Amino acid sequence: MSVSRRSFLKSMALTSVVGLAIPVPLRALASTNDRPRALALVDGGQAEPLFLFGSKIMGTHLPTLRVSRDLDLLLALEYHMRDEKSLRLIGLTDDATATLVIDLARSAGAQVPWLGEHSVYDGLSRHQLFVASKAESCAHEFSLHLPGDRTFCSVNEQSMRASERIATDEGYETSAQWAVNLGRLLPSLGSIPPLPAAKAVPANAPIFGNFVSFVIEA
Amino acid sequence: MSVENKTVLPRGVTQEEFDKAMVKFRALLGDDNVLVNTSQLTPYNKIMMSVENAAHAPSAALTATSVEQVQGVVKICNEHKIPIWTISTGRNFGYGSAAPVQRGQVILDLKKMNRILKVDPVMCYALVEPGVTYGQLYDYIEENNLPLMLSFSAPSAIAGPLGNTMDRGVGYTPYGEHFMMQCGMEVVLANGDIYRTGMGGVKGSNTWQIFKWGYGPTLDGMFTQANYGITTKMGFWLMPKPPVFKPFEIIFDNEKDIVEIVEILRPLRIAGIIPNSVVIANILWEAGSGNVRRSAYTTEPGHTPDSVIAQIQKDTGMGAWNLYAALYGTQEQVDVNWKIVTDAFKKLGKGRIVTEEEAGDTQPFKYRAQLMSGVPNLQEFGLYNWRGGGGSMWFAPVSEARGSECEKQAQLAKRILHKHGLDYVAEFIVAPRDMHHVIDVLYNRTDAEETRRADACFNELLDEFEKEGYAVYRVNTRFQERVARSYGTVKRDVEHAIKRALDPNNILAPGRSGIDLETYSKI
Repeated sequence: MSVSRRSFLKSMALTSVVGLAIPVPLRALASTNDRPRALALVDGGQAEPLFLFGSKIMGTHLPTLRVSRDLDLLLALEYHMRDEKSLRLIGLTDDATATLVIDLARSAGAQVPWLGEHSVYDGLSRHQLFVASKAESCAHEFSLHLPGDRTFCSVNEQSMRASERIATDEGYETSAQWAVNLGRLLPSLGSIPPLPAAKAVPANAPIFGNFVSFVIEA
Repeated sequence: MSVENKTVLPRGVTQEEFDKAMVKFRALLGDDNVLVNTSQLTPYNKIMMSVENAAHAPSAALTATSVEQVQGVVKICNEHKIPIWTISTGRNFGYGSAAPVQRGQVILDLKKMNRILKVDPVMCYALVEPGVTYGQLYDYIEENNLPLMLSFSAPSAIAGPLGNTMDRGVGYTPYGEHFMMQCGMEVVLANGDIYRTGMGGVKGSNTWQIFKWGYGPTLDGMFTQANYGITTKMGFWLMPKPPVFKPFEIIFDNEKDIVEIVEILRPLRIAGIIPNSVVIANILWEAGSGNVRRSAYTTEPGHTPDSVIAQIQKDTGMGAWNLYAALYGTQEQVDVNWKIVTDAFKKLGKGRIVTEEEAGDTQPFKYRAQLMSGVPNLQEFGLYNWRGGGGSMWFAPVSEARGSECEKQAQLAKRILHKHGLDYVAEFIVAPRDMHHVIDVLYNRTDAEETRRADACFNELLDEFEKEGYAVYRVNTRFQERVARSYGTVKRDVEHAIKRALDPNNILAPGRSGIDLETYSKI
């Protein structure tokens, strides 16, 4: 079977899955020609509602796709990253899913201007960002709005330089505002509007664990 | 157009020389196949090793679509002394991923050379290009209803046979020792010559994928885990799909049972009663790949306490050791071998046997059965969520298939990992006489202190195992120079003599397996 035949079948699989999972079907997205089409990738974990809440605060209503380690879905996603122009994927997922998605972005020839690794345990949060120049201001905004508490944020510009720690205040983080902020910032990567000052977290319970954020541009 | 990456250069190459080479690469490959935009390079640099990403950052990535283009790339590299790091699908997770061994090397990505050149269902072999994935082959076999079965490592569909075999990876079927099943390579040498191994040099030969040895010295192995050439085609044998496939699991509750498990298993493997690469996974490997997360039980730093592990065993029914194997053949063959296997383990009086019918769709049984029958899946990536944080390095010492040796290695590894606050997450992959003892050193890369501990831990594992006469069969790119030293100076001298003869400009992946004319000559 040729690659194109396989890709077509995988694409059909995704369209059908996406049709069930997102408010706007991918086919409808494809007809939007005047701006980059965007899709939020989430994993159903505890950060998902915060991340999506953040995007809604900014008035961004992204179609949402839950991803996991499902092979057919991921291969279909790879097909769309390879085949479609101006597709932007904005995600916050677990490590395993992100590892797969980022690597499939590589094989699809897509660009990754933002890659963030986030760890939150016992009130201590760590954020390691690998960003392209177009995402620098976004990274700056993100670090500025981290709570001035037990938060460590290092930014590696394009992973190319040794890490440069830009914020090392200490204290206790009492919310998961960082996940909301990611939802606010990443959809508008490259044209950053100022963040609303008011903090708004749907449930003020802190989340814990490890998370990976990313922006993929096909 | 995005700003080019100006911050990373290959070792010893000036910006001016680099720019000249880039101009030539663009002329040869086209602009779209020369990646210098830093957004394009980031996914090539998502490493899982215990160093900063900067240490393995590429200066550029090239994608070639033909053997002629690969020859052209090599020519330009020789002219400008540009070192290249070749990847096929780049899915060497746990061993360095797609990133180069040394900062600044230009990645040559062969993902676009992805033609399945031949699948012969009668002689049961395939000939493929580097970018072909197991998923592609699986689809081809299914689409054409061919009576063949694949063997692959856990990343299965998204990895490829050529890359996995060149790194001497293993799978879980009776054809699980992949290099043993390799038959015929085409290699672009550093001088641009195209060398075909085995019968491949004979004009009109139809036995390139049939007979490995050819005539005179057999050099295939020399190109694996090495940097003497760029493999652009590879043949390998495919297993006929058996009429009956019977996967099973045997669950053992106690850690010390490993001694008896191996003693019973070895004769069954050597005699071929159990024909496939059996896996014996420990509780934490089993839990991680079975979607259990450490954070569900504890968020305390350090290694996971025995009490927590006992609770996981109790909650999930998983064993301290979990053996996965399968029988293949006609119903009569499988019935006979099933009796031999079950009799052997019943005599031991330990272990709960679980069949496919009993397990149903439960994980991790389901994905293990799929891997043993050549059905791709990505379930094992769940290991990355056990602790989380993106750090994963596979420590893979070889062990005799002797119970006392496996126990000794397991205890030694566990002691060192616990000393550094990390978990013993391991499996033994059982060949007839050896074991690949694969330990996933999982840690949080966002935590600089934990990353330093993981690095120290890996070094100590290498050191302490070496004192006992053990060494790894494969390692991630951070530790390749260190591991090369374990195998002795004569071997290294020979390897560098070959390197000087075949690649005097040291352009092909210098540093791969510790082979680097620049650094070795100075020692």
